[in-house]
Amino acid sequence: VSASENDLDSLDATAASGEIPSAVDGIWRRRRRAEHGQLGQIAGVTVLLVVVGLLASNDYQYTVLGLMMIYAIAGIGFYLILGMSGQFAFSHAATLGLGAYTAAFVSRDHGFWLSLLAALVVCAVISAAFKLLLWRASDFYFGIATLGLAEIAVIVFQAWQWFTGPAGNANILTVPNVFGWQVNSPSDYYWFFIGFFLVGMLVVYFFRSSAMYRETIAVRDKPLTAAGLGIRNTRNQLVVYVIGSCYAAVAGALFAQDQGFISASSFDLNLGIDLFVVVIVGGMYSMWGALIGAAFVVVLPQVIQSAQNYSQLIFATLLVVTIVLLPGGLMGLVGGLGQRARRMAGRVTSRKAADGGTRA
Amino acid sequence: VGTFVTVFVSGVSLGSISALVALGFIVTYKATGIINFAQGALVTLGGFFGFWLTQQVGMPWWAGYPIVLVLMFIVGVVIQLVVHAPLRGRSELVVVIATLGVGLVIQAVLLEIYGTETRNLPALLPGTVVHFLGADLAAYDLIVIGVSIVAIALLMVMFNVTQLGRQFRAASLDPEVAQLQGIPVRLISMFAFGLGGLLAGVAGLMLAPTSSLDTSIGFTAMISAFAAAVIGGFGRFTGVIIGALALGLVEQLGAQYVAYQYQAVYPFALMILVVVIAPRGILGGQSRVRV
Repeated sequence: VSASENDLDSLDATAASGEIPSAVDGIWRRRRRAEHGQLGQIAGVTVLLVVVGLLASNDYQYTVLGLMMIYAIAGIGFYLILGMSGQFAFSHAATLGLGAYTAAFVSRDHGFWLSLLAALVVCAVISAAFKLLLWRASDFYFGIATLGLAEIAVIVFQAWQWFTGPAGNANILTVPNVFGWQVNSPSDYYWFFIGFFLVGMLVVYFFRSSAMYRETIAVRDKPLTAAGLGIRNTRNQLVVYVIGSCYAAVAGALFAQDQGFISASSFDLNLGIDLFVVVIVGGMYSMWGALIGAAFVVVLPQVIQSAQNYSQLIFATLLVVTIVLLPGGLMGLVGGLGQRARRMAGRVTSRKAADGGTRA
Repeated sequence: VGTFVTVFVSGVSLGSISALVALGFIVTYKATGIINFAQGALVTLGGFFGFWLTQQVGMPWWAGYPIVLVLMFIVGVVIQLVVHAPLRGRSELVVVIATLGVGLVIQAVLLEIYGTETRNLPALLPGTVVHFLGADLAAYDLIVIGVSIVAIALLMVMFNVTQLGRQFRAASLDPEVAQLQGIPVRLISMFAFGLGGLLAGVAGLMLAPTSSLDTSIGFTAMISAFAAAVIGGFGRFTGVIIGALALGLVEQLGAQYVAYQYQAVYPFALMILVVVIAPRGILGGQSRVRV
């Protein structure tokens, strides 16, 4: 038994053994193991979030944590759009606002769950329509058009008072009811949001283990090759954009519910830029980047009081520093360390194997 | 006739500033293939440099403004060194986001120094009125239009006639081949970002007196300028002029005849409409936008 057969993580080693069937088998086993690993990660992070929730002691801390979860949920959607699909979109904040206002509008007469559903449907339909309208636009023009959409959205939120409320201010007075559990206090909201986050991560997990995921990566990195292989690039981008927008819709509805009061200025370009910071500083190519980025953007200014006054400067600087020095963001830093450790371990085992080979 | 001329000239003046802002990132784009999203912040910075030198230091404008332009050129080169040169080989999306980040840094620094209160940079020839075809025209509007015409003419000559312009176009078309032909691609990138910064300085100095100077003035102008550039087909000077003038007039007409609370929406709606109908701009076709 050669060492390479045990070392399924190293594709080269498996291929070097020369037997093609075992190489393919190795790829599949490796992938399945990685997927199980992701399920384990999701479970582990959920436990971690629960532990953090148990450690929090007062309403203020729960409020901050709740906001962090909302940013994380919106961030997952933006990770899908920006990181996974490579679409340059400023419209995520506007979609979030649309979700929030739709939820507020519906919750005037109906309960939370119906308002959430309405936010999802409206955001999915409008984002799909927007992407369909821009079907032929190149990536960069799409980015500029979303910038225009973000500007338009804030103005419309302010001006269309029948839908949004006087001067774009809306109050949300419903109390979500989960099988008789009234979600009312900040701590309740935190537990409630963890549930949504878990569902969101599971959706990402299923997405990542689908063929769609590999097509998306192909469209992002090698659009011409992808088109040549029969992947429909624009359709793929459309689907990912709509899925990502659904996350924004949920985050918007939860934001409206959590705050109880929303105004148009909450959803301007500053929020869009915060979302860029969340995804890029957290790690643009990792499904956990959004959570780390959200913790960074929401919790850090609360922990370091002196950072509060300079938060804009600090975030902007970190955005640039991250892009230039840490291409994978904070998650890339973590992943990079893990990979280096693994590679060093791999080098040791392969050297041992080589030694064994010469001796034999 | 009088009112029409007045409205027309103020619309053209509005469009000229958009065109000036747009010229900055178009020059950078033409030489490097990167859209500089820091352009809006650079425009703001130009305005504040002008405010600092003429109002706080107390220089006359003819001494202060050239210094502003030199400073802005240096800032542009620094941006190239910080986010363009080290990111060679990374995807253009990443470089563009990095320029956006630099813009945010500049804006945040200005916010720390000057705060949220608005400043006032006086116009050249304040209060002077020119009588033309029975209309009263603000002299400043005419100055803005004149400066834009000169800037655009100089750029067109530089790009289409001189050797430097050919090198610019070669560098953006295929950096590697251009490098092999002995074109100093790195220097050209630095120069392009510097020139973009300088043009942002011009735009900032022209824009600041038309409204009150605050730290977000440039970003809003940049979005309109993007709209102008998109309408005109990215990367073409003539297209940008037409796009900017169309936008200026649409905004003026929208303010006059259509629901005022949606006034700011019309230019963006027009831009999205243009991208929907003609994804390469109305005059586009030959200029291909990457990223």
